[in-house]
Amino acid sequence: MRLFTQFILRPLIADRIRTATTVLGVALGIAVVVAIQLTNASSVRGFETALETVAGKTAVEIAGTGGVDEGVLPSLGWLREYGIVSPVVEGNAALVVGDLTSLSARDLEAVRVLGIDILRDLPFREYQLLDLGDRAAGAEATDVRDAQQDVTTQKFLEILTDERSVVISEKLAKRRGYAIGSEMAMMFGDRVGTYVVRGVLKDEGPARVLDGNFILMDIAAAQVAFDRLGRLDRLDVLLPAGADLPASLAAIAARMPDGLTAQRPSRRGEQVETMLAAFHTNLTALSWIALIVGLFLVYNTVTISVVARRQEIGTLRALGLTRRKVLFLFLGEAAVLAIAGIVIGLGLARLLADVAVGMTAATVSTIYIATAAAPPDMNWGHVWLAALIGLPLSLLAAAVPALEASRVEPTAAMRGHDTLDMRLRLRPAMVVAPIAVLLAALGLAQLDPVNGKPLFGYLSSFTIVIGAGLLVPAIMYGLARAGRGLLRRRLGVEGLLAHANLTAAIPRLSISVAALSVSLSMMVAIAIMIGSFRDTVVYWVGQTLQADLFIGPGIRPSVGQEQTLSPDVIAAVQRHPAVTAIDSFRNLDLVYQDRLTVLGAGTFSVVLEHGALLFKSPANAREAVRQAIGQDAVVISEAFANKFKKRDGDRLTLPTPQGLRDFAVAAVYYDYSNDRGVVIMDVGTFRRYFGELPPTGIAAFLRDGADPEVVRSEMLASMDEGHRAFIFSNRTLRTEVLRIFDSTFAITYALELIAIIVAMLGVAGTLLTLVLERRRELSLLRLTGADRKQVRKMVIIEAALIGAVSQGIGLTMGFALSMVLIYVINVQSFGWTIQFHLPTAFLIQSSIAVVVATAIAGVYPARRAAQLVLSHDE
Amino acid sequence: MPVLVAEDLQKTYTSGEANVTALAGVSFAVEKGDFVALMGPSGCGKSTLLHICGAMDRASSGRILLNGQDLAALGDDDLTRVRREQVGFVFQFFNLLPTLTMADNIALPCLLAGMKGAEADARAQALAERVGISHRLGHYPQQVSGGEMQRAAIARALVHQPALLVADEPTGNLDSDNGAKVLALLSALNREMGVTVLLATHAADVAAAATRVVRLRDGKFAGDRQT
Repeated sequence: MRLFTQFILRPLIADRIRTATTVLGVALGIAVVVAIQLTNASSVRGFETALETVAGKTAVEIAGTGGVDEGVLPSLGWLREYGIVSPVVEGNAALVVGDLTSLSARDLEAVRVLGIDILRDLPFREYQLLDLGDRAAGAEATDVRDAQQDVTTQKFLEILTDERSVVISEKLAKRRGYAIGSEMAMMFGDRVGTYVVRGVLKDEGPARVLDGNFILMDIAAAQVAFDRLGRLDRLDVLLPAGADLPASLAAIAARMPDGLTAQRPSRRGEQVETMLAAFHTNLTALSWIALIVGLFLVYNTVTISVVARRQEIGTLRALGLTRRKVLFLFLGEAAVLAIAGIVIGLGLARLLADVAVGMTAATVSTIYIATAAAPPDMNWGHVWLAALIGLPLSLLAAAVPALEASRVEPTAAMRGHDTLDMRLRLRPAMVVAPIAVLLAALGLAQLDPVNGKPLFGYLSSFTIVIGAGLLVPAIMYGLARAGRGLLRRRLGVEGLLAHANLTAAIPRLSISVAALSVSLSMMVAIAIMIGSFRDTVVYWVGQTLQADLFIGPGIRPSVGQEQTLSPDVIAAVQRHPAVTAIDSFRNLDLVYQDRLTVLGAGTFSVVLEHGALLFKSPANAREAVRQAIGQDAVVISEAFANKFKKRDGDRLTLPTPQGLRDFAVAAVYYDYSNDRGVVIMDVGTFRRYFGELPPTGIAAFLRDGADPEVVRSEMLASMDEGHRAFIFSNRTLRTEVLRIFDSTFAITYALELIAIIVAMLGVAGTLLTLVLERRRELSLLRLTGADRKQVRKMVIIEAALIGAVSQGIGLTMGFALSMVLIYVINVQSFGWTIQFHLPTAFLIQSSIAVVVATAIAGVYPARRAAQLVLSHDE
Repeated sequence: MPVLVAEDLQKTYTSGEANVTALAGVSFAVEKGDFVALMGPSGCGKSTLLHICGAMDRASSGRILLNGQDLAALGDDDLTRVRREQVGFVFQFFNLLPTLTMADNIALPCLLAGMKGAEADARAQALAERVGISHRLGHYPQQVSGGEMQRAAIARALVHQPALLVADEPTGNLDSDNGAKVLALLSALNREMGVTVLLATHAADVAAAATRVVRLRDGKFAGDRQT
């Protein structure tokens, strides 16, 4: 231990910059991995927690596509044989906290609204009503804390008397300063209503949902608010104590009438988890890149230690220290760095998670589900995760230099003349083996997904990285041979020396170059994938967004399908003289083969006339869709087709309120708006099976010459105070689509940037190693007449060359990875066809940036090199 | 005018709290075309004196003039320029850069001085022929013998036509046969090209190759004789 302190710990403390850089690298890697775990958890766990909190003691829930028609309730009387039944209406609304006229997102706050029949629901959920009298809840917080609890059914019955009465959570009351009797404005779809706070719930049970943004209403009031008269979202069933849940569930499921299903509440959480799996897996895969690059820093640092102290190692070996102990000394150094990195990384993780949640919450809520925008707290699981990946991988990274240290010969090292000859001797295996690995990657890319996950796609990407990494020494060898003359001609003696130094250190450099290349290749691959995707989306938007105006509820559509348009708004649109046609559409959550998909209703005749869908197949898709009008036929999105292996001509069995029904697939269309998969039926067919449901949006086509902006203003002006709708013109919606697209991928670039920063630290470390390793040669160079400026320039050229070679390899590797991302992983994860497009300008700019950045990373090692003391007999 | 003049050179190294005197007031001069051997036992200060004369190190006090220029008054960059333009070095361990070919090693001082590549290559080629290693120019130092390495080092030391060639135990790491060949080469170059040579050695047989022997003992001047 004393030896470890003196030989390892003291130098680590003495060389603060190097130690801090390495610890920071590991910390960033660990932080990114844990932060992404927290971020992923925030969307799923947020939903699941909300689900569990609201579900309370519910054992079984009964629901159907589009909800439960109250008309079927009499036929479900037998449910009482199994337990207590409570009807529920539940959905998201927006609390208006700012200026309603501006309708900006800042002025609205998502709230979860639960509508219940209090007489039946009390046994299901925990409602702790606070008795506040008439005092303000928020004005004086002590009032809330000191309030007496008075939970009685009678009390609830007294306060939830009409459709404007609401009970809110204690937390919301405090935050917004609501008191009993306060009025609050809420938006349901496009309808703005004023509600009165009649009671405050203690922050327990469902009141904890969405961080306290919870509103309790009487079920009838909720039906009015959500415009779901005659409909319930589900029936919750509470089984008696000691009941056999699986048996009861099976028995209830067996007796379900057509169109309804019985399931455990947690099933919905599992479905959401499945829905988000691809999104999360991709983020997790990206987060690992930063960690792997961070571990490369551990390799670097331990290598520097070994190189800088060869003579000391030799002396210790001569004095009797065994090879094994030398090995453990340096592995111990890696462990110290890793533990420090893990501890700091865990601290950073929470910060990064907040940023990452901020960056992904918009995506998750826009494309998938409404969720609380805060990561969950870290727990011991995260600590273990960090320790279990950080420590062993750091030791693995340090194994190569530690072994090198253990092999130092005592006599040679003490004389200081045993520096290894690092010149690469190219063997055929160094080319053949990597090519074989790359061919294996090609083979893996051809394989089908496993359980809907592109496992072989990921494996193929990983194999490309391994193959390309193994090929790095041979590539560098080839470039070294080809580049000497050019460098000497263009960059003079410094170019010649830099070339000579790098050529002589290819084995040492290969790991640095491979690590940097991997990071850069991921950046290139992601840039190509996103560039291609964006181009495809721009084309798709151009082809499909044909209507002049798009009208939606005042709340962002993100908060769910329950946001609908009311007849008044539809009428305001329809009666405008400039409107020639409207296509109203309605979306519903559709559980198909136990996965959450989307069922949509559209007006096929309008779609055909205005070309609002871009069809993939069959060739005569428009004719097929024309024939589908009024028939039991649907069109499906490409994502749906790929996920469920369906194509035009196949049949789908869909759950409808009338039971399972068969529909013919008339056509497949391109859709990049979601990856869940969409089934669209003509509005007439939809109405036949699902009844009359209010639309979730309208597309309006205007007569020639009408100014969309003017029409938009006129429509908004014609709406009364009780209604607020978003009206996008074609141009603004296109901009909005691309804004959402860009914000979706912001996290991707952020993760990549971290990986590249860590890799840059690695380049600085490698150069420092080389400087220390070559200090005798550098000293000699200075004796021969090289001034400090020439030495600095030489090292910076080396750094820039490392950057250029890494970027060159990164570009090639990235191109291959982008193929796998676009044609394998993307198709198997999301089911989208993306047209390949090379973002040339970005790639050129980023290549220049990488070379400049690596040159900058070389500044510190260059200064160290120029400061070496002159001596020729070290 | 002498090429090199040393006046009352003193050099003290500080090691912890102890001061070690390496040179205690040494004065001597070297004329153009001289072949001077600095002789003395290990630790007498000959390498220190050689380093100061070669602009590698600074004296603690005293004056050292190379071609009339006082090296003590120069900063690091100027000393580097002096080494690059006026001094050539030959060391015991050859000290060729292992990453460069023999040709590039020889041409290096010219290239560092900003000479065009082709001209530097031509000079390197000519000197390599003169020292007898032109067949090894494409090799790396570790691929040739010690004698060949030292001959390449001599070529490198002369390629930029310095005013002074400084050699520190140039045969110390060679067998007697190669050592003799290297000494013969230095003598020939001194005679034929008029190269001024300052060579440090502790061996009498090596000093015998010089035209003048300056002796040092305990950092002090201990004798000067022509051979």
